[in-house]
This record gives sequence, structure tokens and C-alpha cells, in this order.
Amino acid sequence: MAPGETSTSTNRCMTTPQTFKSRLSHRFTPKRFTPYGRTPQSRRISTAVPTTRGRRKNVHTRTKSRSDSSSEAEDLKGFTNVTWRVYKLSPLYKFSSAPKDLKRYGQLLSSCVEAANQKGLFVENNVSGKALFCVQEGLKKTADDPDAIQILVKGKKGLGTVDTVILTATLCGVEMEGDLLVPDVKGHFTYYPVLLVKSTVAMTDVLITWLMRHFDCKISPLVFPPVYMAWMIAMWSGALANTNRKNKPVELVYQVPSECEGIKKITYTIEAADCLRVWNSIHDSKSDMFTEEEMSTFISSLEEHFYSLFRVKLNAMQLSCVGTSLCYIGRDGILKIYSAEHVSCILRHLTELSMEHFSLV
Amino acid sequence: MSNSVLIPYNKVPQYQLATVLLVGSEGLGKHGFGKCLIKNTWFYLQVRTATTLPLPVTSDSSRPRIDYICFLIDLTSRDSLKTVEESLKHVDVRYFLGKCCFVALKVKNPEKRAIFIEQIAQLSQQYKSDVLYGSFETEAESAFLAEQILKSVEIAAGLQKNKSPMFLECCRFPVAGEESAE
Repeated sequence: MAPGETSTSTNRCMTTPQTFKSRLSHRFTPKRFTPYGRTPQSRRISTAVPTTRGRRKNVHTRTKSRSDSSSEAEDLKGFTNVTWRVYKLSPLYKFSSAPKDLKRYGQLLSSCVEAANQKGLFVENNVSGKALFCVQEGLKKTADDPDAIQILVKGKKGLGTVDTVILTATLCGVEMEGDLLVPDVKGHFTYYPVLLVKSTVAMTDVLITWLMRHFDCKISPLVFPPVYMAWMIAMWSGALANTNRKNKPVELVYQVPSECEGIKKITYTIEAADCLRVWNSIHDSKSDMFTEEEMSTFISSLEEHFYSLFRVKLNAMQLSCVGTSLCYIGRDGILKIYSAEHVSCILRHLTELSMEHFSLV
Repeated sequence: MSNSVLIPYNKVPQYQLATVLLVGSEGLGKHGFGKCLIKNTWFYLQVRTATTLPLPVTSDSSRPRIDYICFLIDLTSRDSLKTVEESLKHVDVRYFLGKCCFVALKVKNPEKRAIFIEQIAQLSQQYKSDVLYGSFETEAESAFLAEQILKSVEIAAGLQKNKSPMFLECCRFPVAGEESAE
């Protein structure tokens, strides 16, 4: 007797229970027992070229983005080579992106920063700040996406006389598929799945408490469990950032469990070109969707190679950081993007992850 | 080759005694769980543990009949899923008729998860066996898992009158009349 067939389908179809079965026979389907949401069996990847190849949207959005692909890369360059912390948000209540509202928010946030400064929350004294909210170009891909907002806090650090940017933050949502908000409350709420912040811990706290208090939302760090990091590295090792320059090697950092003394972490580095060869042999480059099986094949092939060389079982350890030539991702929500062309695709993936957390409800 | 497959009915059952085999990679806490099973049982129970199957052939004669197999999978390590999948190949088909189950451990840390929950669900659908989710961290959690497993073990060992594991399997799937409608 062969075990029953499994439904490992390649595209995004979930296994739906048939409608004819009685409720009793649902007793043993896994859906009843787990309180966890389903992760999709396959995900969309982007290709190395930042054109619209591989987007499943309608024609009019395609033409809209094709015209600015090069200027887009310029705009988004501010995202690269900066270590961001990633947060996920619940919908913001009564947030509007009209210019006068943004100016008002800026003034409110400045006064909040001043108050915090006087309370002595900052390690370096006299951090006087002025906050600016403005709409960020280049991140709004479809009509569903809310306008991306950039928040800057400029001030003088310590006794310096030059105005420096103390905090940069971006609220965005890239290519959000489907609307998670119920239609009757949609008028009042704006949903931004992702918040990227670059600043000191104290300033970030001030910003987050201000946002939470002002817009009645909940902001929490977007952590990446090892499963998601394995997804990301599997999807993006195949995308070369720049074919002329030498690409950064693919890096996996594992945390060794505390039972093994004398070694705390293992960094596994692979040349980008070799990684690409493995990727091409696993994944059919014409297809757009990257399936779960391909992901597990990729990761297990890397780990088995390591095992055959060093006899160290990497799959029993936890992945803590992952780096490809596109970006570097740490487990606690740390992100550093190296390639300006792929900013939107990385942000799109983060949007997807953040929306999955939200749709667990 | 036939020696490497674990067969359920090739040995004489022991009188009033059930035997459970716990299969899972190292470091999961099998021995602790075994003690917990023995503490919570209301019938005579013997617990054996293994990291992989097939079991070594040399000690085959001194081994009693295995009534129930628990496959332990740690959700934070891909290795445990791999060892379980390899071990599954060495189990006779008749064990999957109610004499085995999968146990998924360390469910309470979603930020450390290294395998998708759907993979476990897929395993259980493929082998048509139950999955239990839990952890061995506290006494209460182990006792909870132990109770569920022991109920199935009792039936699998034939210690309950008029109940056989095959009987329970019939309750799992729809009756013939409904199936033809699909």
C-alpha cells in the first residue's frame, strides 16, 4: 500500500477540503488542530532586471512603472547601505497624507521630541529636533498601496552646529495584494504594513510611542523566524545584483546551541556564482513562482554539502542572519539592502510577511 | 532487507504489557518523556527509545513486540524532520493503521521555527496518522501529551476489550455512501 497522494502543487493553490464531507470526517484534518495560519506554498520572486517581468497585475500599472525604472532606482538609493529596523503595524486611525496634515504631524512630533529631550531621555544632551513628514516617491506601485511616507528628524547632536539627520523612517506598503480592511471602516483607517526606521534606540522609541498614541495602532518588530529567512535566501540567491561588479557572497550565520562549548556561531559563506549554479539547477528560471519544495531542496543541499565536508549538522542549528548580494537580514528585524534596483522587490516581500501576520486574525 | 523493516505482528504479544517506541533525534527529551509516560500510565508499560530506524538486528530477539510508535519532531530543527522521514521508510505499513502518531515539539516559539507547520500537516495526511502538538518543557505539558498517547497505546496493545486500532481508523474517514458522491 503506497501512502496516499500528497498535494504538492506548484502554484498558489491551497488544499481545500471538499464540500461534501460531513463534519465528522473533518476530525483529523490539520486545520482544526492548529491555531497557526497557513503560509503559502509558493511565493513570487522578482528577476534580476527591475522591469515588470513577473508581475501579475493589470496592464495599466505595468506601463506606469516601466517608464520610471531608471529614475526609480535613483529615488530609492536612499534605502541602500543603511541598516534598517523593520516593524509591522496595525492600521492607523485617521491618518491622512494631505500636505497640511503632514505638516501638522511634523510639528506635533517635533514638540514630542523636545519634551523627551527635556526629560533627559537621550544620552547625548541637547538633541533638538525638527520633524518633517513627506510623501516618498517611487514606492507606490499599485492603486491599492497607500502613499509611502517618509519621516525625517533633523537636529543638532550634542554641541555640534551642523544639522544632521537623527532619524529616518519610512512607512510603506508595496504591492499589497488584496485589501485586508473591512469596507465600512476603510474610510477611517490607513494600513501601512511596514515601517523602516534608522536611528538610535531612544529616538525610535519616541517615534513609535508617538505613532501608537496618536493613531491608535500597535507597532511591533517584525521578527524573521528561520523558516522565513530560508525562504528569502532561497529566493534571492538567484538574483544577481549587478552583473558587472563582483557580487557579495551568500552568507548564512548559524547560532550554535549552548551545549557545544567553545563555539558560538558558524558563518557559512558561498561564492555568489556557485550559489547561482545550484539555484539554476533547482529552479526553472522561466517560472515566476518559487515553490516550497524548491526552497527546502536549496537549503538542504547547502546544509548537506557542509555536512559532507565538516560533519557538522547545520540543520539542527538556528539560522540567525542571512546575507545575499541583494540584502542582509538579521533575525530580530534588521535589514540592510545593497542593491537599489531590488528595493521594491524586497519591500514587497516584507509587506507580504507583515500582512500575513495581520491576516492570522 | 526484510529484517530492516519494523513489523507489528511478527512476535508474540506480552501478557498485559504494552510497549511504546519513541523515535526522534537527540536532545529532544525522550528519556524524560518516557519516565513521564510510565508515571501517568494505568497499565503496565515499557518505553523504548531510538534516534533512527531501522533498529539494530542483533538485539532483535530480545526485543518485545512494539505496539505503538511515536515520531517526535522538533519544530526548531530541520534535522529532526529529516531523521523522522528517513525512519518512516523502515516501518511496516500496518503500523499506520492506528499504531503510530507524530508529535510536534517546541510549538511555543514561533520565532525560532525552522520548518513550516504545513509540512507536518502534510506528513500526517500522507501517512494518515494523528499529529499532536506540544512541548516537553513543563511537567503539565508532558503529562498532557502522555495522556493522549496512552489512550491510543492502550487500544493499540489490545488491552481494551472489543476495541482494535483498525476500528478507530474506520471512524476517521467518510462512509462508503458519501465517498461515491465525490
